[in-house]
This record gives sequence, C-alpha cells and structure tokens, in this order.
Amino acid sequence: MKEHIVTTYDEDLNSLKSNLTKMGLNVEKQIYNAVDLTKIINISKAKEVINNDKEIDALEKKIRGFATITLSKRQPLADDLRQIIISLKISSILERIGDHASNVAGRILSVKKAPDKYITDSIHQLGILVLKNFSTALSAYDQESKKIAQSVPTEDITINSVYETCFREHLHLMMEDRDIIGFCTQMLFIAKELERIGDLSKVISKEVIYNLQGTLK
Amino acid sequence: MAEKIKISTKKVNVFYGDKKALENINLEIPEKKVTSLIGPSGCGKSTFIRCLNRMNDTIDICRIEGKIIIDNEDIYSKEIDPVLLRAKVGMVFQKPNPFPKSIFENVAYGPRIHGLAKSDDELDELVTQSLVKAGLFQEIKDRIHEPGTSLSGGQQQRLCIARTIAISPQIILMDEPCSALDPIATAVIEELIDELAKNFTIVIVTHSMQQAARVSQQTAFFHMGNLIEVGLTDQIFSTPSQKKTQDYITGKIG
Repeated sequence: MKEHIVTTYDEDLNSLKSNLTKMGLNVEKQIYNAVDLTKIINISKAKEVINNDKEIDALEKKIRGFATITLSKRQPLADDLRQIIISLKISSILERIGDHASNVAGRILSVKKAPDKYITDSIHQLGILVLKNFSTALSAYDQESKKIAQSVPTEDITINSVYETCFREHLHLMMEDRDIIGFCTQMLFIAKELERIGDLSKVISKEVIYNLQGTLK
Repeated sequence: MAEKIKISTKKVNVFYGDKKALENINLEIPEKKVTSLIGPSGCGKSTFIRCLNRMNDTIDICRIEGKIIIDNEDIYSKEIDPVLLRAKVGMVFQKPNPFPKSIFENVAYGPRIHGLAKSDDELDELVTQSLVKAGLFQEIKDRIHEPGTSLSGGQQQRLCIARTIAISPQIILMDEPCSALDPIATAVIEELIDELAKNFTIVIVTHSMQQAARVSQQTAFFHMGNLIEVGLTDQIFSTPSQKKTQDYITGKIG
C-alpha cells in the first residue's frame, strides 16, 4: 500500500482502522460470552455482557466523530473515501450486533435456570457457527481480503439452515412437554438473535468487498 | 458518451523546442458539458487547454502535431483565422485580468471589435446581458462606469467571464479560474459554471480535486505529458481504473 504524502493522513486512517478493529474484538468477546451463556447459564456473566454493551456504544460514537473529522479535514476520494464510509457503516453494524449479544444475555437473565428436561445443545451449536462466521468477517476487514470476505455469505446459508432446524426441534420439544414451553420460547428468541448476528456478519463482509473493489455488486 | 462531441483531438503532440510537452493526446470533449483537466504541475494540462484556441501560436518554439477538430474543422488548418477562432473559443485565466478600463468598456470591447452590436442601445443591452449571465450585474449595476480593477478578485473574475461570453463563444476554456479566489467567490464561480454549461461547452483546468468533482461531468487526468485516464467524473473520483490516477487524487507518493 502506497503512503500518503501527508503522513498525518495515514495516521488518521490507521487510527480509524485500529479503533474499528478494537470495537470488532470487543463485539467478538460479547458474542463469545453470549454463546457461552446458551450452554451454561450464569447470571453474573449475563449481567456483565449487558453492562459491557455501553463500551461498544461509546466506541461507535468515537469512530463516528473521528470519521466525520477526517472527512472534513482530508476531503478523501476513491479508496480513502470508501475506507471511511465503510468504517461508519461497519461501526454501526457492530453496534447492532452488540445489542443482539446483549439481548441474548437479557433472555438468559429472564429464564434464570434451564429445566432438567431440556437436554439439547443445538442453539449453542448455532451460536458457535455464528461466532466463527463473525470472526471471519472481522478478519476479512482487518486483512482487507476479498477471498475471506466471500466465504462469509456461503457460511451464512449453513447458519440459516441450522437455525431452521433449531426452530423445528424446539417446536417438537414444546409439543412433547408443555412444562418447558416457557423456556423453549426464550431459547427460540435467543436463536433468532444469533441468526441476526449471522446476517449482519454477512453485511460486514459485503462492505469489505465494496471497499476493495469499489462497487456494490 | 452519447452526447455530441464538440472538440476532438487526434494524436496531438506538442513540443517546446526539443522537449515534448504532450504525447499522443486523443480526447473527446462533449458539447454543453463541463470537462475538467487534472494532473500535477507540469503535466501538460495548461499546454493542452491553450492548444484549443491556439494560444500557443504566440510561443515561437512551440510546435504542434496531430489534429484538433472543433465542429468538424481542424483548427490548425490554414483556412482558420485564429482571431475568429478565439472569438468562438473564449478563455478565462488563473488571475483575473480586466483591462484598465471601466466595467462597461471591459465587456463592450469584444463586441465592438467583432462588430456584434449595430447601435449603442444594442451594445448596452449586450453588455448588461453578459453581466447578468456572469452573475455580476446586480452587484455592480450602479457603478458600471467605474474601473474594472476596482472590483474584488471574485468580481473581477466574473467580469472576465462576462467579457468572454459577450462575444457569444461556443466554448469557454478556464485555466484555474478560482485559484486566486476565496471559498465564497469560488462557490459563486462554480455556481456560474453550472449555469453556463447549459449554453456553452466548458473545459476547466483545476488543481482542486473537489472542484473538479463538483463542477464537471467528464474528467481527464494528465501525467507527464500523457493522458492517463478519461471518464465520467463520478467514476474517476470514486473508482479510477488507473493506479496513477488513484494515487494522484488520493495524494499518495507517485
């Protein structure tokens, strides 16, 4: 990558990228913890996830402010302009993903404890796939790799079908045993949150491709 | 582009003595659109724009090869009268250069020598209309007989534009018309360029990428005497196809 004549311009763009990567890693940790909660319910950990969401919101505001200043100061064009535009978009997507992770923790708080009769771990497995695909999207951004980015939407198709399977499985569970209907309903909401994170990871990968090739195809 | 082509250059080479300033320039400029020429200092964009109304004729060591066609006529052919050509292809320069005469006389000068007005009334009307089109009339209507040099820089530049359009050219060449102006005066000129493009073909040399992006529909990037890339302005500034263009517009070491 060629450097700008004005070195502070490079510093601005690098700082924007490192802040966004930092935000991404924070969100990744939030998803990791949220997915963990779907296996082992832990009230204090759930509270921690909800609390950490504030940090992510603050990072989004910081990136937005920084991107706005860079736009006005540098009046960027071509790839530089795209890099700033995707920083704005991705930071807002990350913020939403953070909300979904926090929502998972919120559901966990309301169920408190899993019934003994509930033995499936399919939603946890769904969460692992979602976390992995999010990490892939984040690496694609960090490494500016079109190849890595292109693998994300493909994997999301698998995630969607796993989500469908979870849904049907839980319907059966509820039909078989009405005692766990309440819990299963909450778990289905959690599955939906995870599935949304999958969709949003796909949007991130599309932004990365847009940045690299310059068109929204 | 589907538009009518107003100016077309074919294999144009320009030399200053032994030094080649432009090499094999093939460029089509659409009618009633704004085309901007960008590139680093010394890349040949000013040389190029000056070829379009034969301003380079006055430089002894300057030699031009190839063809420059305006409305199906080669402007370097023997039958072309450079004075008439320059009436058809007007020019506005970097620094406003009003004549040391009144505002009125500045604008009236061209129509007079080209005999464009039959009577004084007609000349008055022509001067007024030119000043109106250049967006200057409202500001100076009460002091039209004061010296042109008494105006502010931005007003002087608009006076020069009024002077250019008074002789009803078809093409207006602008060589960095805003580089000596403040942002407000620049905005006024840019607004004027938009308006003028309805009736004139405009070619503008600018060092401001943002200005090129704002005012023009087509952009050509010159580098070391070569035309590197030409395309729709929106495309050049968002997704240039050439690495050299990308590096230049984003300010990277080339």
